[in-house]
Amino acid sequence: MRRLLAGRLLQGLAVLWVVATLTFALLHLAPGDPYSYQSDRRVAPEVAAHWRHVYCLDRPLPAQYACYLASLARGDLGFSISQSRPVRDILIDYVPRTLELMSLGLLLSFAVGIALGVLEARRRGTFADWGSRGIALFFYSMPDFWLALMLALVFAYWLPIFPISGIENVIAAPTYGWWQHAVDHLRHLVLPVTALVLMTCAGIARFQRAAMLDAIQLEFVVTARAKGVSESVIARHHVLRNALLPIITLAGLTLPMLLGGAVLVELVFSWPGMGFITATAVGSRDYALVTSSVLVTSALVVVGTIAADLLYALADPRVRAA
Amino acid sequence: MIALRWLCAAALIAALCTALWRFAHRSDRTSRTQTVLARYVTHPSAMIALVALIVLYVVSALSPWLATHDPIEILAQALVNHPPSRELLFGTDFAGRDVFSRVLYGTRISLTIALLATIVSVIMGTAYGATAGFVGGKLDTVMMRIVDAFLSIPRIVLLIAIGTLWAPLSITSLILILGLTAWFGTSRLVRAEVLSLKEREMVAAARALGARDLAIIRRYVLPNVLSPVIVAATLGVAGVIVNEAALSYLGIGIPDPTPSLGNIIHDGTPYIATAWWVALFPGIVLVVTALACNLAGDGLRDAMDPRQVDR
Amino acid sequence: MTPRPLLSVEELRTYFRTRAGVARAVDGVSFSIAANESVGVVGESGCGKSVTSLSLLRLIQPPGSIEPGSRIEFEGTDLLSLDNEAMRKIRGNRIAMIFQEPMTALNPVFTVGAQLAEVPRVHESISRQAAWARAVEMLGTVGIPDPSERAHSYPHQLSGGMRQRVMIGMALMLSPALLIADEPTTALDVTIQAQILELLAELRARTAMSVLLITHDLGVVAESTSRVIVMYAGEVVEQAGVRELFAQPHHPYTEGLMAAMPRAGTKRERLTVIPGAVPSPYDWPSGCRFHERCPYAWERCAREHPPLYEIGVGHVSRCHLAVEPERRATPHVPLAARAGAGA
Repeated sequence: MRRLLAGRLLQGLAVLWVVATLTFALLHLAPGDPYSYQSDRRVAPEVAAHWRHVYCLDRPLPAQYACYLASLARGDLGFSISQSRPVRDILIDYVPRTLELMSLGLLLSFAVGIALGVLEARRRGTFADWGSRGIALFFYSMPDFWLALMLALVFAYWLPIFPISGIENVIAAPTYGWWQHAVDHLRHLVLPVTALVLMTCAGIARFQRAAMLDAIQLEFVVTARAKGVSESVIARHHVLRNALLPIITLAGLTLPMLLGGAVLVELVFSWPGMGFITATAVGSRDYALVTSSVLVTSALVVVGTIAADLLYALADPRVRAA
Repeated sequence: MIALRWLCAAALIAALCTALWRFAHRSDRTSRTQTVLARYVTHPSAMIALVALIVLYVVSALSPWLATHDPIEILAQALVNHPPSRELLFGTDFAGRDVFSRVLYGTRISLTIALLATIVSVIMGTAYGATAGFVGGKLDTVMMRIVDAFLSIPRIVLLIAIGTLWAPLSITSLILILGLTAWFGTSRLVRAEVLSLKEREMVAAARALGARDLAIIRRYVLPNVLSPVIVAATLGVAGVIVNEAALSYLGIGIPDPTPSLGNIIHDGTPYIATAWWVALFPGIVLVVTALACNLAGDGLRDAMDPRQVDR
Repeated sequence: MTPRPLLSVEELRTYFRTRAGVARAVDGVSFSIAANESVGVVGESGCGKSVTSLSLLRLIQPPGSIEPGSRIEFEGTDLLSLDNEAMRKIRGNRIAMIFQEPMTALNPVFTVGAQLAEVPRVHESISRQAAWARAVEMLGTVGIPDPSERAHSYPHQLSGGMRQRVMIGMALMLSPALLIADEPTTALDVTIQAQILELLAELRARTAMSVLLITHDLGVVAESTSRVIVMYAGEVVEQAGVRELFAQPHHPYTEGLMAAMPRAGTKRERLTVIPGAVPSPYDWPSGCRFHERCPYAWERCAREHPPLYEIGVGHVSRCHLAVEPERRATPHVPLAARAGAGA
């Protein structure tokens, strides 16, 4: 267990190092540098010179690379020219909002996806199976931003049930007690989370269905039947426990998709998370901010994958012992 | 210019299809191709998807003749955000341009970009995966770690970063960027297939007879990786067209006023409450295209891999 | 004169209706088992033994089904007329079953204790703790050392022999009247095999249950059963007491199986093997289903499906040699061997 963890951490670090090298290469190959003046970007020359010196951009390439890695290791992600403050401070403000959205989205899409997959496998070949798979694939095929836009159109403009954007009712919030705050916040969460769940649960359901159908073929199912266990208990207990194992790995693999989806969903709903801040940095061509978000999202994915591996090891007695 | 690219895409696809067809009809492969075709044809959703894709492609090809207006022309100040009517099928956008014509032209551009980018990604992924798998050893480890790193970055975040650093992008560089960020999964597939093939006797025998690596790759490896790659490519088109739309939606894809499905939606977003039609119709085309690609890909997989049937 | 048997099976037919046609895996099998009797079923793989045993518990899954007209009577109730819930209450409770490969037959993600405790949990209202205590006790009964410790093990942590002991313990949790053992020793080493058979015999003696032992190995049958049913191509072809059968096998198929059996003390270049293979259940041969592989077959065998002839007391055989015994004197090369040489 400890060796597994150490190995996975090392692997994760290697991946992050490659990603860091990649962002460095991107920055180096891009026209200009993060602090240079360009026609669509106004930076005062003395400010640019200062940051260029801090991040060694006035030194030869190997020194720049070493300097870049060193500052990353210190947790220094550069200086945002569009917000005039260090990228790290911006991310500290915005990343928690993304994590909130993501974790809710991940949890609910797995709950919905697994439930659908189990239902489809048990009703295999029926109209319910067919219809559920069709609808799931329909949402899966939708561009995330358009899905979010349509949700906003229907449930915020046409039927004003949920708020259109943001995380709280800016006007009324100061007068709220903590309970009203919580309700207000949850109402703001509904649409973005729904968008995330709709676009990811199809893949999970499909995987769960296949895993169930694989597991139900296994011989221990016959044993359980011969013991007198009822079909529903077999499905819920024996088969599901086995079919959930591969799903844990899928959780790690779903993270990039969910994070990517969160970027545009956040933008549409003005949810002040990392995706929102990244998308708005596009217009001001804030190099430091967009490359940092590449690093941070991939770090989140790496951490999530390691967590999924550990969870798998805990859940599968065959791996746990090893 | 776009027409030229579109022709280019059509020609490339035609060439690929012919090559595949001729390749498939060589010697003993005929019967296999026929069973695959037969299985695909009896797959109802896959056939609907195929028809939908053909219709989309033909309609977008005919957009200059089908369009009711010039997609870029501003019709009249009075016709800003005009709702759909018999004259203006999908209404007009904030600048008073005909959304129907824009969607037609936009579909053509988006499809062309998606197809060309997919071709780029398939070539890149196949070459990369085949090299890693065939050479093996340290090189393989390094190459696959790089793929791991790329796969850990959400694709849209990477695209946003590249788009921001190089904005504004030309259509050619857009195609390249979309293609060069879409091949990671394919390369893994190809590598796995190559590794399992390397173990098989026929390859060992060919080696023993002194066949050169390239000859082995062409004769044994490529034919066998073909089916997973075709499936991945079909599914990949759906991903690429959605990502292209997302980039255009963010304003770093195809620049205004040229219409693409993504930037029509972009134009409609601020006015979504009053002029919903601007964002709705291009989105429907996107969904239909992506759905059709996904269904066709699933159908192809079922048809090519008998074990997958009924899954 | 015979008391009512524990289990009687009449004209059991289990067919699989697939796109390729109808596979008549079990095609009119009748036999019975008395209380505290141990009966063996032998035959090559593909002859319908396992399907028969699964049919007894009604564990056949679609596209397979037990055909109307079949009859399975157990402890005076007609199992085929029971609803699913009533049938479920019999499984694991009155009739239990153990399988060939304990590694796959046990659920890999639950401890063996939990899997044993599940049996009383589904059939009786019993607390979790009490069920666990009984599971531990049973593990001791089937000869697992340190049972309270071992109950917390997962199947992969046990050896093959231990796993099969766990399977047996699971089957015996509620003292069933009938234990169906489907190739219980096939996956095990020879020494472990003997131990498992010994355990089964011992438990049978102690609990007065009946055992239906399904195997392809006549040696196993000789050691641990009193009566033998020989199956071929979905049918019973011979049935006799174990001594009678070994002393005087009647059906040429039984003869062939015995000739193929390695015997201690005799040294032969190679085992005699029955030529050909079990035919496809989609298309059983006409007449006697064994005639293509039979060294005595004559025209009648290809034409006329033999009934079960009474050979002696409690000895039946599905072979026309019963009425034309003189044919046994003139064996010839079977059809399958001749065709096999050409193919």
